[in-house]
Amino acid sequence: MNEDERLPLEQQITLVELVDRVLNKGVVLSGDVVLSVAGIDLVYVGLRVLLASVGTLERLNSNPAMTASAL
Amino acid sequence: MIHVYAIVEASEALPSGSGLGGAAVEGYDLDGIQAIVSRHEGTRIEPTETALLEHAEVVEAAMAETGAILPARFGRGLADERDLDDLLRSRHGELTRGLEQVRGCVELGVRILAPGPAVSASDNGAATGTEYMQTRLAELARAEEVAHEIHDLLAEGARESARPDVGSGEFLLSSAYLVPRGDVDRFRGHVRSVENSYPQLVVVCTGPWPPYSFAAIAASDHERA
Repeated sequence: MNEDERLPLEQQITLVELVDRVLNKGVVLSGDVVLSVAGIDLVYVGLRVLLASVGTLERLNSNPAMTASAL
Repeated sequence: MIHVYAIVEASEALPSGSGLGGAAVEGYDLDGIQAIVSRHEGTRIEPTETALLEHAEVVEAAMAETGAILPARFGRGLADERDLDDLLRSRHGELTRGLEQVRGCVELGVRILAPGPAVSASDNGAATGTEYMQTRLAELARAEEVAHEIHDLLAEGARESARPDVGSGEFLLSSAYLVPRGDVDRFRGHVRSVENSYPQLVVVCTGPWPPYSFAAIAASDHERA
């Protein structure tokens, strides 16, 4: 894998990591977390889509044989 | 309402820049510790992606000014200054200890993508679908063993590690390591050597982050690796 391909993957994972930290890590100081809030579900849905695409793309990139048989 | 970004020591400078929705960032001191907060109209702030990023930016900026920071989880907020004062008073001891534990350290995240299936049933030598599934399950079990090995290896180079998340979702390993600022390059070197040892895996190291994954651990003092 060359650097050009790696950068978007790292950026995507960085976004996932950031949201995960802000929502799920960190010390709980002000009430419970915001799981009940509708906006959060949207953020999570977005992340799941992102994760699925990260995983799929990476596999296709790293395994050309799979590309041939899967497509 | 009052939104809390992080806890630092009272002597630390406030981060420059604004908070959620452009609100001014303030410090609220109590007996040696300081909450970094902003004040808002209304009863709560929706945790939109923009709000989460703004929260994270304030925490990052605060980290740049300080030797020890406990990032706050994005919460519902506190009603008023009295609630904030009560919070800092009632949890003063654990927050002070938490600051000590993360002093001088940053957090590095490691994610390893789960390996894809071995091409197809015919290519992995399986004669039937059942054999293929058995081979695939064995591969995944082996991969999870490798994930634990990698975690243990990386944890040796860190001051502390969070409990690793192995084999859930798209990732074979999601984990976080608390590393002294001066050791970040060395830790990244460990990650690179892991990557070289397991060329079939895609390893991504993120950070340095404020120590989110260790703020809760430090403050409540459980699940230490």
